[in-house]
Amino acid sequence: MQRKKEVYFVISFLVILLLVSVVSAGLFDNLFKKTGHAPQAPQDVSVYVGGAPVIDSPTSPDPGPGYDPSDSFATTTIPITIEVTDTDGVADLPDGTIGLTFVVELSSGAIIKTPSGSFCTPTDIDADTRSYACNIEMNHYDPADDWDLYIYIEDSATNSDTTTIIDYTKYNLLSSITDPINPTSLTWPSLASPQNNVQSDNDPTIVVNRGNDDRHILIRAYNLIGEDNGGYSIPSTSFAVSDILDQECTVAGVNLNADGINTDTGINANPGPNDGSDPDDCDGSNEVCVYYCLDVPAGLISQTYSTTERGEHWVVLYG
Amino acid sequence: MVNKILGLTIILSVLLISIISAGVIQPYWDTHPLTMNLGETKTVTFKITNPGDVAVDYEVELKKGQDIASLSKTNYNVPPKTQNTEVPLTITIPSDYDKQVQNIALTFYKAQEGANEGMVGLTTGYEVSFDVVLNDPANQGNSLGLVIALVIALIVILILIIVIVKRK
Repeated sequence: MQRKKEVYFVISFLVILLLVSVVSAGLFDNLFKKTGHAPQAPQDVSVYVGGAPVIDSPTSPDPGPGYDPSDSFATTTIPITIEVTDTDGVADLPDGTIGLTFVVELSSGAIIKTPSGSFCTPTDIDADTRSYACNIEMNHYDPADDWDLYIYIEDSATNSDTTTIIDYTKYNLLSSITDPINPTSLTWPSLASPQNNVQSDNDPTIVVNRGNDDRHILIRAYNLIGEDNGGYSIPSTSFAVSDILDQECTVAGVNLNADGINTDTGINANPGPNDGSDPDDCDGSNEVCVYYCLDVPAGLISQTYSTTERGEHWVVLYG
Repeated sequence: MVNKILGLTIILSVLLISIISAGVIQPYWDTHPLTMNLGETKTVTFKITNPGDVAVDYEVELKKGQDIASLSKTNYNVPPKTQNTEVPLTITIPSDYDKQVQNIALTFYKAQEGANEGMVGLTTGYEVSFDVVLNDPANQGNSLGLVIALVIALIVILILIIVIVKRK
């Protein structure tokens, strides 16, 4: 009889051990999760000591579609409402100066935002709960990414609570350049056939990055067709570009691809604050100039060559 | 004096009108993929912006991912001073889709305005792309298999113990 009891005890122990191993491995989480993002889930840290404030909300990421930068150079407001309870009453809580930071981690370091004016507007909900309406102002050039939210609150007795929400909300990607691009068309002085290394006489085109997209300028070029005799043309591969004056006709210039195929120029107009130059120039951190060079092939007849006959303008792309 | 003020106002107006821009807001991009399941349909909404003073026309072309993505409309008139002209892209993953990742690429072209006066007319556009990543059904199957294996192991252990007890 005693032997049987021992065996039942061993069986019970094994069953419990198995169940514990299954639960602690998060196996059921893996079974039912849908996004595969468990490792990125919010990491809430709440500590409650008698009389200490407790951050009731937010406790999880904002489920909305994220916030959009504005290429009118206006800031984008991200409103965040925080609710805090303190059993000692709302009088124990700060009026509006609470610790709130909005952070994105980049390979170049972290960018940290705090509420505008470092102040949130408090509103008492009841005797021991207060809400704080905070606004984070985002610039048009702030990076597109998932931003984290850190909240810290301290009452008059220096009791405190903190909340960390990883990937709280998304700041979307805005690709935007000034349009129409300046100048709207390129010209060259009188040309001979053949003639190499001829610089455009009305470049550069000035590209102003009005968004937060940090990619290259692409050019989709088309052959220039003779306006009188369409049997003659200047291929798009006869052109080269550079963002440095007088480099466009050297080996540093990037040759454009064949008709209708995008060329990655490697030129980047970095996202950045608008320098306010009017008209645009190439001096701002978000501005870049593109210079053009032409090698006129041999065998062309004397006439005007342009994109007019083809009806396809060259496209300056951001992407 | 009146003439001077009038002349200055007109010049300033021309300068203001000449500064135009247009852009594309993307909810997903190269480092922010869209995650989906087999048999699922989602709509991804891009927005065309136009902070300028005149309306602009845009053409949208789906360049990659036509096997799962479609545009219901390709031409858009974007009113001035707006940034919410929505371009919905519908993505449907067939239940038997065999790719784990599919790149979606679109090009937004600003419609060119008339014939240019120079040799090379210029317009602008945007290349937009992101990945659609499928939740791995194989991994889910592995988890289910692990549970089944654990249950079977438990049963085997129980049977072994019962057999041992009965022998004694």
